[in-house]
Amino acid sequence: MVNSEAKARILSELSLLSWSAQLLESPDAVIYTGLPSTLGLVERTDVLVPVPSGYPQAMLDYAFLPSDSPLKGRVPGAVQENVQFGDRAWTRVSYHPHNGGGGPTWDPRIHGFHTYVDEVLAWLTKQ
Amino acid sequence: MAYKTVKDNARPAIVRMTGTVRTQMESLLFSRYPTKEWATFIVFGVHESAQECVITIADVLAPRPGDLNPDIPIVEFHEQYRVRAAMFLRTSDIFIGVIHSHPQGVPVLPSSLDDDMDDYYRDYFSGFSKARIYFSLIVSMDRNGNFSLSGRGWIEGRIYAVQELITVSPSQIKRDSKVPKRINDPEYRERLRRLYGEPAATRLLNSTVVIAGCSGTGAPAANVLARAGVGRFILVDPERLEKSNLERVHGSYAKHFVEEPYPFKVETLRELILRINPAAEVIAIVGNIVQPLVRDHIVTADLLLCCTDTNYSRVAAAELAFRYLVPSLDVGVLLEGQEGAVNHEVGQITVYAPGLPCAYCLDLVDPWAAAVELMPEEEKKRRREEAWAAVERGEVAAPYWRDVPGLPTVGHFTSLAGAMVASYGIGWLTGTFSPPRNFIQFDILSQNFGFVGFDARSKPGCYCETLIGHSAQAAAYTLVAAPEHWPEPRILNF
Repeated sequence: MVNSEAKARILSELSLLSWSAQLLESPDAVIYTGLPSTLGLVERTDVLVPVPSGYPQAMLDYAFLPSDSPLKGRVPGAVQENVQFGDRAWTRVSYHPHNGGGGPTWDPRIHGFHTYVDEVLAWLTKQ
Repeated sequence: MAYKTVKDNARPAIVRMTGTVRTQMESLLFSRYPTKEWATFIVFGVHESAQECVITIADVLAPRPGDLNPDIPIVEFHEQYRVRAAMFLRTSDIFIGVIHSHPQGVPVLPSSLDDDMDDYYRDYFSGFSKARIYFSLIVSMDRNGNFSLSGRGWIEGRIYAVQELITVSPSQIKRDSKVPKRINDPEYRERLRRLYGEPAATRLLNSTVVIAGCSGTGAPAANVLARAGVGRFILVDPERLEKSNLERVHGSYAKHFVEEPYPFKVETLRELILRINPAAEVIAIVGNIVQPLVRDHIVTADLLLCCTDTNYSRVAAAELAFRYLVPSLDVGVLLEGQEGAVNHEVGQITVYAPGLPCAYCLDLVDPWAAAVELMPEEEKKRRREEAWAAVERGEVAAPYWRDVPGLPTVGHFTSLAGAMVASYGIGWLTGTFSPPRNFIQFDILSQNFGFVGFDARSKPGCYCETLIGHSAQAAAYTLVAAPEHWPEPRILNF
């Protein structure tokens, strides 16, 4: 389970969002719900981002789509394995905005789940 | 007037503040000395553990003209001042307390009037705060300039009595204590006493130093500090010795490798310290400085020596300095060479203290290396496999995995760097000397030792500037938290 300080920080970050999001625990992840996509097939999608071990010093990386999402293969990044979070199956997609993927260098003083959502929104509109 | 001692059932509390705040506070509180009292509201953060609490005074909410009644010798707060403090509380995560002076010669014990004041403010401020937390401190100064402090506090229903005050200045880390001082000075420190003077020698006896990382640099640092007479150590390291450690870890001997499992590094270092000074107190923790139980101990210490040479611990050391007012010296080493020729032996020492820049402001953090340091082994394995698969697809492997080269170090140089950082620790604790700059780098194989040194400033708006003394109340801004896959820390019993 995520450390209490990391949890306080994540909840604080989620409170800054104008999108709906929730923190899952064990395994730890944030689900952004109903994010818009312009790639066709669906207008909105949920996206899961795992809380990395050692967050927020460890950077946010990857994004997961629901395992039945038609956006798999449409969004940039290689499709990896399926993983169960809570009662839903999700598919990992290789998306690394802060790790050479075009985003800024990770800095926990600036970045967090409240800024990662912008990277995810950009990803959902890239061909 | 009747004075009472603080209740016997109170838990111990430590107050930490910066030298700047202390100077400001003293000039206010003793401005009507020697016969009249004065006061100010203080702004503070709290860290509470199972045994004690540490309050960190972030600032003084100094009285403006008309805030206190200047016409009477005791302290009377006016409504406008109370309201200003209450409005501050409404928009803050930290707390408000009171500090006031007693006239010269009057004990720093609460009077019945002080009881009334504290009962009132404890109740009043709780209406504006997120928690029922209130502290009240009393100070005085005798004719010889000797400072006295007492204090009591309430955290929800729990009562605390202030036992110690730690003041962190750029030139000295001072500890004013009600706890009886260690005076059993070993004979072997005679030369040190002659060089630095009796007060400095006594200060070392009554110091608590945390050594985080008890290997190449941490072990020699502890060796030096034990011989200098530091009275109390908190040793923190999660690892057991490995055979290769014999080359550089002071206190490790062939006997430690006869039977597996080999001892924890904190065990052998404790043994070394006690062999030098059997009167020293040593707490040995198998753990890591970012773990909450370990932090409970660190926040009671005078100084942290960060000897782990990792990215995340550098961030943690800086965060302990600005949030909890625990100053630290971070040391790292780097050896470079090829085909048997060593070209560079570089040491780096960074001072972290409240008001100084953090590891991020100094650009000393590699985010990927920090992520790898905190990553579970199974994730490293998965990422390496994904990197291979990416290469096979004709893609770049780097976003999945990049090797972080291990830093080869050898005992002669880690011993030098460890001894250096310990010496700066002695200087800081005793107020006798300081490093030439807050960041120094040197290369013992270069001309003029390749010295680079500078005093940098925090980047505007950085947490190291805005969260000074915010303690546990700045949890939502934490920069580094313990990964869940690490084992729980444990304090070794001997």
